[in-house]
Amino acid sequence: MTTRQRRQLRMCLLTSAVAVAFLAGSVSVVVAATEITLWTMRTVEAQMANLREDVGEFEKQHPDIKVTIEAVPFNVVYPKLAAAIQAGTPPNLFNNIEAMVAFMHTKGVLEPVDDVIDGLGREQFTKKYLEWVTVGAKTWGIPDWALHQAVYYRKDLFAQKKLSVPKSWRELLDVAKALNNPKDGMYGMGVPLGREFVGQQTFGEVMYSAGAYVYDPVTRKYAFDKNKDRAARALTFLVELYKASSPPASIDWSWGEYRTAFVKEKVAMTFEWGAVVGQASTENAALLDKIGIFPFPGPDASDYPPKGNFGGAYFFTVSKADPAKVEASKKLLRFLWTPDRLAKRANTRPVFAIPPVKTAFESATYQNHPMVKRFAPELRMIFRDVMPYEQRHGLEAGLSPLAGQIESSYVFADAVQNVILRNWTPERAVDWIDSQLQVMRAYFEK
Amino acid sequence: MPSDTTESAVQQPGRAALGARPRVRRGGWSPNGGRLGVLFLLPTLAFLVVLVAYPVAYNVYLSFQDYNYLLGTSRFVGLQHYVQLLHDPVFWRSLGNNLVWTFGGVGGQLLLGLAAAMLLDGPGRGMALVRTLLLIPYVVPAIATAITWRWMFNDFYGILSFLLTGVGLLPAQTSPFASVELAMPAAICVGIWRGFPFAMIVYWATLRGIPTEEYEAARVDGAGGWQEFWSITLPHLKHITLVLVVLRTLWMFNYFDLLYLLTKGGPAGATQHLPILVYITSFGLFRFGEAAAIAGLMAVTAGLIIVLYVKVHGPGEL
Repeated sequence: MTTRQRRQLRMCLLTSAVAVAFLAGSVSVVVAATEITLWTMRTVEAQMANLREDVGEFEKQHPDIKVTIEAVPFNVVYPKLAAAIQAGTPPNLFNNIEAMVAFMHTKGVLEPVDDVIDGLGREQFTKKYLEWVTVGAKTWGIPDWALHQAVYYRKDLFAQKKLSVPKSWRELLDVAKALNNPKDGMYGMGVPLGREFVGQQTFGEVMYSAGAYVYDPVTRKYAFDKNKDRAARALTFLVELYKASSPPASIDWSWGEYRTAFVKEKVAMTFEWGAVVGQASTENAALLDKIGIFPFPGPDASDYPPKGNFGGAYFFTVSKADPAKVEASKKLLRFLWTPDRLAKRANTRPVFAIPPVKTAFESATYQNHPMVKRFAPELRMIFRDVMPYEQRHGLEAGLSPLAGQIESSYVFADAVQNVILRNWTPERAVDWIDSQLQVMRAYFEK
Repeated sequence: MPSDTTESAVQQPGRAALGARPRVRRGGWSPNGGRLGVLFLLPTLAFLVVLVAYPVAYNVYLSFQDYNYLLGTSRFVGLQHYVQLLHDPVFWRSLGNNLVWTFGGVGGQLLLGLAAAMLLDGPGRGMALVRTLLLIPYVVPAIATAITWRWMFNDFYGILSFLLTGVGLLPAQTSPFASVELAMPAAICVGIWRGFPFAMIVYWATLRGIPTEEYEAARVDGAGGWQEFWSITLPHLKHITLVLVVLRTLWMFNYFDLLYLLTKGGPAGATQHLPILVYITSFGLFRFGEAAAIAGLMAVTAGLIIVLYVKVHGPGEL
């Protein structure tokens, strides 16, 4: 080998070494990226698009973090999550509902998120939603959306009949009867009682307005056995309201059916979560100006609006994982929880979703949305009079796995349906609910 | 016509030569052939062990455990779950619903399938198109089927509710799914609609195999259409009907998704059958031990039904 050849060989080796070093460096950058998974129970494309956009922006600002988003529909969430937990691969971040937070906490897979909440300003959050996901002085989820349940009604029909907003059960029943005219195709009030979720939600609304709880919010002890009289009274009223003014098939109605009935002008009032506004805007836009909202009344007009109603919220949870993934997950939460982004997320389903953070609720981004503007007084009323008093079965005293069991075992809806269809007395139905709850409690409290 | 017996095979030199080979195989545990044979069987065996034997064995094991999924604890309770279930009215009502759902569905599917098969077997052009159209229910996803039928049974807009009201079977502005008495029959109608094409295709294939000479001879003897059906068609369909009954019974007995999507087991438990009870007990209440016991009793019940069928019709029929 000549000197020249040797020099060429040396140069070649050097170049190769540099190239290898460069490639190795690049590879190490790629390998060092922290990959996290994000599951979401969002069900509407506008919500998914918003989430993808925000996450894309986050990834641009944090090229060392890669987020994989996966939508998980309601009907498969338990089997899928249970399998993932069993395999040791729960999602790093999960955008879910209260019952899922409870389930994951019981399975011991969650990281507390107090540091994120405190960093954002705990006092900005509606307290109730934090209480639901708090146990052991730690908060296990961060509220993303607030949901509310109220009565959505036809202002024009109220005006025609010279009716005013009812402030007690009796007044509500009278108004519902006054509006009820099945021969002309209009029922007074849609009382949806479908077995999956909806029946429980409707009964819950009446139950909480009567001050009946599963857990006592003050003593934090199981209290349904002591609240049976109130629960039976609530159930008696609910059945009376159903029989007097609701379409018979509403015993099987889910969200789709009662919203369609309201939008198609078959019911003058309905229990509702606000999504009917979005449906009306596409199917019967003329109706939007006729829609009014009032909090569901309690037994006594002097307490209006009652300090208890059935509500809900969406949360984000962070699962236990190696510190880099947990930190990356929390970094994404801090990014997503700016008032503007929270407001934009809520506006993907305006009126149905409400920011649970005061700064986001008051932000121009939220308040300037056309649909929010249209219902501005009602939304302020909900933010002030409804959201702070929301309850959810099993979560009245903080996070409990009972919430999930109640929701997925249909116990409340079955009780109502049995009273209406199988002639159970309300007292028997409430006794049965209590016995079922006792069995459920024994399962995880033993 | 010589029958394909060992005797006739031995009488033919070529067949005899072929017949010698299985004898070597029959001694198949010889050092070379045996191992190779077992090797070839291994993938299937592994598949069966992992996907069939293990889940079944684990289900049996689980049914004897008080497995607390939430707390991650487990303890042996023997037959406790089975004993509790046998004293549980919800279990018995669900079993009753399951039997109604199964027999109603299978009966309807076979009758409609036979009627459709006879239509396809008849003269007329365009039967290929009709056959394709009639197969649609079988290939439509269960969720689409459920949503469509729920809509057709809707209280305000459902065409079927409207028609049922018209003939006086349903009160105005209501839905069969809101009635304890009508929810199951309505769901069975949907199950029949969804499952009849399977029976139709099987019957149609069988009908095409019936020798036309038998019908011609019957006509010469003066038989009418009904007599032809009763004396020729039905006997030819007996064997395949038993096969269909067994297959469809197993299928319907375990069929979860359609009924769940249609009714969720409501109203007031009127359509809650055992698969829905298993689902609620496991993924609603997280009582996997009890759910496994229900699944075990389901398997026993389905097995008993099949044994009964075979006993009635004779084992040679299957």
